[in-house]
Amino acid sequence: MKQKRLIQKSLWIFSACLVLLFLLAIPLFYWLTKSFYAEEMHDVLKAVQSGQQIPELDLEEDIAHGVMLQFGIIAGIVSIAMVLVTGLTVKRLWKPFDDTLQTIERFRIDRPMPEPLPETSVREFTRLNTALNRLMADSTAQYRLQKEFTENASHELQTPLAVLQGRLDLLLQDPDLTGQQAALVQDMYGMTRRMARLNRNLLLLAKMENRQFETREDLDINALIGELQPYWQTLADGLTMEVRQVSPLCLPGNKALVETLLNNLVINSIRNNVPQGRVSVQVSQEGICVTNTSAEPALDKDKVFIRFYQPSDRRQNSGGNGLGLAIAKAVCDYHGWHISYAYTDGQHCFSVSIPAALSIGKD
Amino acid sequence: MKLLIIEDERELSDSIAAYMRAENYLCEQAFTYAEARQKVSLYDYDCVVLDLMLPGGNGLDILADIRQRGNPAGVIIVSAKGALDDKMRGLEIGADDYLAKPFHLPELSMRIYAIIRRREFGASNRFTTDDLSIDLLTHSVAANGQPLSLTKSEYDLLLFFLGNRNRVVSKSAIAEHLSGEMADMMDNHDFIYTHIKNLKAKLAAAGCEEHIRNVYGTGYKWQ
Repeated sequence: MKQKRLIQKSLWIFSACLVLLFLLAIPLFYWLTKSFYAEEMHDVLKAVQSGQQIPELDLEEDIAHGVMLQFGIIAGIVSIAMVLVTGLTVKRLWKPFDDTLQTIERFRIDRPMPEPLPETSVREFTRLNTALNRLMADSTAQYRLQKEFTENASHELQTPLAVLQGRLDLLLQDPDLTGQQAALVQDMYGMTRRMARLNRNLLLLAKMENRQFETREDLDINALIGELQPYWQTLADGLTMEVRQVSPLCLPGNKALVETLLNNLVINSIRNNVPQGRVSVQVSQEGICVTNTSAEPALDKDKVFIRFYQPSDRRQNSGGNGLGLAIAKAVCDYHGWHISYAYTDGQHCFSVSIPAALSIGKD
Repeated sequence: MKLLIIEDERELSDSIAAYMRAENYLCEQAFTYAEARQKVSLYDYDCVVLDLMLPGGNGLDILADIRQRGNPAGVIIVSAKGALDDKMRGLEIGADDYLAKPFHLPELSMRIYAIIRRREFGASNRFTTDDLSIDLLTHSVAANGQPLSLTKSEYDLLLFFLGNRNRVVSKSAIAEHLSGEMADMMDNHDFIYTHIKNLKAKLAAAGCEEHIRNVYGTGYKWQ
């Protein structure tokens, strides 16, 4: 494509417009000449022809009027040309720029790359498009690599962790192990578990970001809670656990992920509780609400779902790895649900609200 | 009992073999795809522990091969991939169980034990030890002929111990067995004490004492 610079193109359009308007204005100039500059001459010629006396001339006044009018007309033409050119250039000349803007406004780093931006007849826009194409391709590729890295790294860690854990299991079998050594093995065991859990959680987050949980089915949340409740009960040693099923709640979702969401919320409530405390799970048409008593003060609403967030005034380490609530949020985002945190009457409350359009009415 | 361990990570394979040999399993190892292919075509095994990512090929092909031959061996897949469709495909082709890495050796041992029991006692679903008799179908347990009423957790715990007889199982392995991945999220595993204490008491009441022994406060052993 033959390319010109932006300024060349604008000048070209401006000149063309100007010439055209001047051509169109020729009758106006003709009229101007006839009625002002040449008017006296006309009168003189008429008088001479008819043999009358030449009338009194006021050349100065006519010329002054003429000049003023001429100035006005030229200024008018130039203004009209400017307005037309601006309108035209915005519409035609800047159209590729507008297209580019629209494309990059729609661009999301986690979505597939859009069509590459085309070449245009304006050299600057072509340069802009080429640069943007490269920028978008690079960042998309970089983003993908980074996501894949987390996933690959987590995968690669599974095997060494399995080896380590197996070795420790084996070490425990040694009949010559002393009590002190056994305690050391137990410590290492705990650390291996923590690493394995961290690794599994990171992998889960990476997989959700890479949208690897495509299977969706209609889930009956109350039935799902019924399946999980015995396990929660096992863990909630000494706590009162209450499940209130106000109304049925059925929605499409990925079962494994929704189980993770429920587990994370409930176990978070169990873990941060007080002795003889209470955990309550409520299911209604609007969503799920998990409430618990705790010695912790209110948490920061804006930060509580951030990865690895630990409240600075936390009294004790609850043993979490700071990913549980981040995963809960990721699961909600994945399904288009909304998760929020509130602190009322000394109780921490995590609610998952389901937009009405997403839940399936159950008759 | 003959066991084939197909796993390319030598240390892991050795650990599994050592752990299983302690309970008189005959363990053979294969480290590559070709080696594994050859072994399953030549010998019969009671159970095969199968890793999916092997040098030279995919473990799922070995599974398909075992099933095509009509080989009755129980197959348990252990994989680092943990992807859901891998699990589904494995179970579809005919694996009996699936375990994601990293896992506890006692967990693997318990599952191998369960698979072999299921195959051996296919029809009756009942097996007995010296003083215990367990019906796998109705989950009912009798000790010295006297029926025991166990909770689900206690029943699971009992089977777990039986699958790991004479070996020390750590508290976290027990916790994870009882509550799945949820145990991961708890910082301490004290909740298992209650279950172990109750199981011990119920067994003692029926005259089966001294089975479960605490070892250095770190784990338990069934004798």
